[in-house]
Amino acid sequence: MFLTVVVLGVIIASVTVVAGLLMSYQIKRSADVSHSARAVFAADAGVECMLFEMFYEGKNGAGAKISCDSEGLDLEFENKASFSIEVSEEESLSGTGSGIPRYFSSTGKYGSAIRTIRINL
Amino acid sequence: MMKQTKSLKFKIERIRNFLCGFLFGDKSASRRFGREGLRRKVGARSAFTVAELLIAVGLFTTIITIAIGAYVKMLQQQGLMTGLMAANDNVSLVLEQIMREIRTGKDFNPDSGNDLESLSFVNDRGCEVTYSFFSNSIKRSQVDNAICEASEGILTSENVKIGGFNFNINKKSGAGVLAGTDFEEIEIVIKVSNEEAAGVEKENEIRTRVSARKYFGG
Repeated sequence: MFLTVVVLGVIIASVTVVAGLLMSYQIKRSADVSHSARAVFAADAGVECMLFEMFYEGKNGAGAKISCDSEGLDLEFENKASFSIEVSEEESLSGTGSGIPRYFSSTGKYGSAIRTIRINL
Repeated sequence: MMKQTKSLKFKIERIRNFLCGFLFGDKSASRRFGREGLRRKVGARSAFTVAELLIAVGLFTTIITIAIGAYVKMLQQQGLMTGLMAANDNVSLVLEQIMREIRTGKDFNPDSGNDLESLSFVNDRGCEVTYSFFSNSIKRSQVDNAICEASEGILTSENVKIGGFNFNINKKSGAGVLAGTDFEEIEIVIKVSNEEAAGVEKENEIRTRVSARKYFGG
């Protein structure tokens, strides 16, 4: 009798603990939704900035470019979301970059949420 | 018959000794927890004491109260987040529409400033449109001219509450062949929350930037 109660108690306690842990993970993941939205829109701003830079450069030549990662341009928003841009250039025969972007990816961050948008050119 | 009963009693005693030894590490405990220890004789019947029952019921009540509290909070949080997700989805579509029109727009009014509550410009069709904050929602209005008819409408759905809708406009100056041309970089700020449910509301501030590209069109 005693052993049965102990075994049943341990099983019930284990199931409760596992259910509680899953529940807390679920709540944590749900709370991430608003963080995710901020990060996605920050990444979108990065894409927008990079495309603007490319159109500008295409029209004006590489000499005078408005760079997305230049000083003075705020990469962090007031809502604490931020973005960063990574550009991959085409490789030339000599092994160095040709300067022509092959693709770029914009990564938006807010809290623990990191969202990346990649544009292939 | 007597021999079989004795053998059975001996077996039961051995099992009890084993269990008590296993559980309490002391075979002699079987005597304490045996008939004399575990079963309190009240006449011919035995039962739990009031103290034991009170402790058991108290523990059960405490655990159930905590579990129900956590469950209710989880349901509340889930409802809140589902509402916020729906609100975010709706605002994403609205934002996409605004951004698409701004990208191909020109003649922004005002052309610079922070925390602006409305923004007017001429879209690619030549219509003068205005986006503004109106009664917890986002409104788009269009002015009557030779090309377009006057119209206005709310863009956000009823279950979405907009707490704020602002524009920050930053001007970038062009260089080279684009010298003398200013490029408006517009930051859109939307404070979005779900429709208040069960006294719980959560607001999310979304910010993004868009630049007008009309000048590159040729």
